[in-house]
Amino acid sequence: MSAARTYAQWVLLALLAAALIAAPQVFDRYTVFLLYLLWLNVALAQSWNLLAGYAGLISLGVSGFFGIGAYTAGMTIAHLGFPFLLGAFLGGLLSAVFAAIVATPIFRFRGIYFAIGTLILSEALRIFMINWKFTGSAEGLNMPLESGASSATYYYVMLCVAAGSTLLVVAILKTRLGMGLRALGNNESSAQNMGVNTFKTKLWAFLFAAFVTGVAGGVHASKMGSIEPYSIFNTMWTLSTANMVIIGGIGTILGPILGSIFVLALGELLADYQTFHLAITGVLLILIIRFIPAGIWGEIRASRWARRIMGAAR
Amino acid sequence: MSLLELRNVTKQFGAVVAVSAVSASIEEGETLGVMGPNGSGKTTLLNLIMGVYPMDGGQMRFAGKEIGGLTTDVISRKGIGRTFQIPQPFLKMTVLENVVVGDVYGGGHRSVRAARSRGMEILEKVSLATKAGLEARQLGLLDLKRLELAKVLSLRPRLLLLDETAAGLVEAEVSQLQGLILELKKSGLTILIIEHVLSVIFGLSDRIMVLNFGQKVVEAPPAAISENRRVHEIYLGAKKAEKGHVRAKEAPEVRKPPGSLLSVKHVNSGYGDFQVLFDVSMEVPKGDIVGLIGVNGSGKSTLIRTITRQIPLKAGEIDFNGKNISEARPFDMAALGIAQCIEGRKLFPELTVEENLEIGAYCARARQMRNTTLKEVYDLFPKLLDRRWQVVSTLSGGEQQMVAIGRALMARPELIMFDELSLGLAPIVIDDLYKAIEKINELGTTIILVEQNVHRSLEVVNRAYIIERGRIVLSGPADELMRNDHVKEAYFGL
Repeated sequence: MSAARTYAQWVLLALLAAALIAAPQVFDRYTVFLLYLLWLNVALAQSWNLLAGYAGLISLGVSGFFGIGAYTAGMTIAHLGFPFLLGAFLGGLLSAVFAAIVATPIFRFRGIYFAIGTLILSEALRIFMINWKFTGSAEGLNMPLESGASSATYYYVMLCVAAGSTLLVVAILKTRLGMGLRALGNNESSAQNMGVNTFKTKLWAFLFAAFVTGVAGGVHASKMGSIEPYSIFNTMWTLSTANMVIIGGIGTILGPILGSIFVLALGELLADYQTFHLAITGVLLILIIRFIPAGIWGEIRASRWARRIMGAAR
Repeated sequence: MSLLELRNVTKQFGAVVAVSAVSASIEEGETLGVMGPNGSGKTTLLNLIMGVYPMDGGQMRFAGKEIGGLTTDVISRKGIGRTFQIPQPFLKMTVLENVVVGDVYGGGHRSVRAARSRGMEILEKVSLATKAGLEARQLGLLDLKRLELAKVLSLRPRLLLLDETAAGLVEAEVSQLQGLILELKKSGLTILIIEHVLSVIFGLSDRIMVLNFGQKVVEAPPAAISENRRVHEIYLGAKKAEKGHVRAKEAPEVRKPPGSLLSVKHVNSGYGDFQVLFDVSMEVPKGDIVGLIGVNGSGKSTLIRTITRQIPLKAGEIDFNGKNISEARPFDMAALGIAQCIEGRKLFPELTVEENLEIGAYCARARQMRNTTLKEVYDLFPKLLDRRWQVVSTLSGGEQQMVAIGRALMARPELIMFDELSLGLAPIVIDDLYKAIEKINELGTTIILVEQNVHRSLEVVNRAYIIERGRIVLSGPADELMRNDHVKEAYFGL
């Protein structure tokens, strides 16, 4: 890689960072909220992508881990007066603990059965939370007004979660753990023959995804100020996460980001046609899976144009 | 002290004893060959050593320590590297990354960077260095077999378990791979090798153990094995039967085939921009057995796929029964009377033998005859009648191939195309299958036999076409081809 190119890349990166930092000061409240949602989606998409795109573990339990994080944050903020950052962190931890507990039985399932198992798990959690008096059952719970922060603060926090989860995935992929995850995602029995302890390797990825999802849920709970099980444990979280990753390009780093932007932008464009919105997104997903199964970024990356540029960069 | 020691190792699947009280030991630096017909328990033995499933009895010690009950990944890290009969690469990872995985988990390096540079050394050793950046799915079979070796070498193993390394390769490729294994052996590695290709196993092994029905029949140096009468009976004995039966075949020569059933005229085809077949023409007379012979990647399977209209025709015409079928679609084939028995069997593994057969009679014409045809198939393969309720994945390789043939017959086709029938099967099993094919032909079905096993196919077919790099280079009566200098040189290694 030439020095000039490296330099140009750093400048570009610095400009991007500056723009992201300046955004809440420049844009109106609604745009900042949209960007906040974007980072939330990126955080969920990246962690899901590590599981599904690299390790081949299609989890349909995103909403469950998201909800555990949200409720942990909500409960500790409302009843113990914890600051929201601590609450969100604890939310991530509890979500990971839950993942560790269910890992042993759930890893016995492979492929589609793993997906169904995680879906059932998160649905069971939802029903449980609707009925659990301790957390306010169906009505949910409210956090005191003064526990919240400015929308700019939430923007920055979520930006950090999204950036952190993206960078962590990049870092993990470069390590031994990343090799093991991709190996078992490609061929589990062959990975075992290469000495990969597949249970332990899957567990790390599962814990990571649960933690990031839980933290995102915790921050989101505080941002909302009040939460109830129907929306927090809604399967929509799972489906939209999968949707974004598949549209953007599963098993790539930029894919989940592009997918999040695409899906969010589409939602805004179709905001006035609420009824058509889901139908159009659905049709789009089908078209993408049919015609560019590698997703937007997967397709761009495979194109000759991109190969030339990346080839030159190398 | 032996590096690997097996004592009374036993494994049962239901009522079947797959491995029965087998004891064996391998000394450090030694190569032990394991042979035996399909279903004799060779691969099961490897699976037991690797901890794929638990033993039902016996002990296994590696480097003096008990390894029974350990999981596969632990056993790999202890220094046992196992290759698979059908290569199991990490398809969407690069060739180099495929070799890095084993090193960072089992080979001693923890840093991916260090493992990469050692990975290149290993790829150098197996002549894959120039392909390090390709994804594994882009490799051909020989390279996949090399990669399979490179992957296990990345574990820095003390013991290699090689399962059917030569399966699916042609003579020249086999000798390349054999040379590679010989180098590993010379470097001091201990090797356990399972192999059907006799020249390979006899050439490499210091000692050979023969299994039959899960039991150790004999264990001796290669020279003694080839003299051993019991081994001849169970394993090589088929040779004699085969000779007599070739002669018996000459009778139907009188019945001259009337006209062409299938004619392929100046066909070009391929995948996307990649042209595979160039101006291929072929005539298959009604009631005949025609061979299509060529090495891996020569375009045999592509021609079959073109005939069954699974890939587009770029030029030329295909006629069947005097009708142009160039515009037909793949699912029309059964109704037209064309069946194929696909390489790799493509059975429904979770269904029973009978269910698999019944699916073959899907098209309306065949469905009416279903019970009659089923009886005919069971007459042809009595073994399948015994196993009709058994799930197909529990059958041996040869039996699965019988189901595949049976399923093709269930459609009551006029033409059956057999693709790589003998792949990975023991000689005695191949003999049975070939006999079945001749019987099918005698009953009036026209047959195309796609093979890379030149010897065998030329013994069975009346005419053959030889395909090289997508072009028909030779064709003619089988006995003429057998004497042809080009064929001798290219395929018999003379």
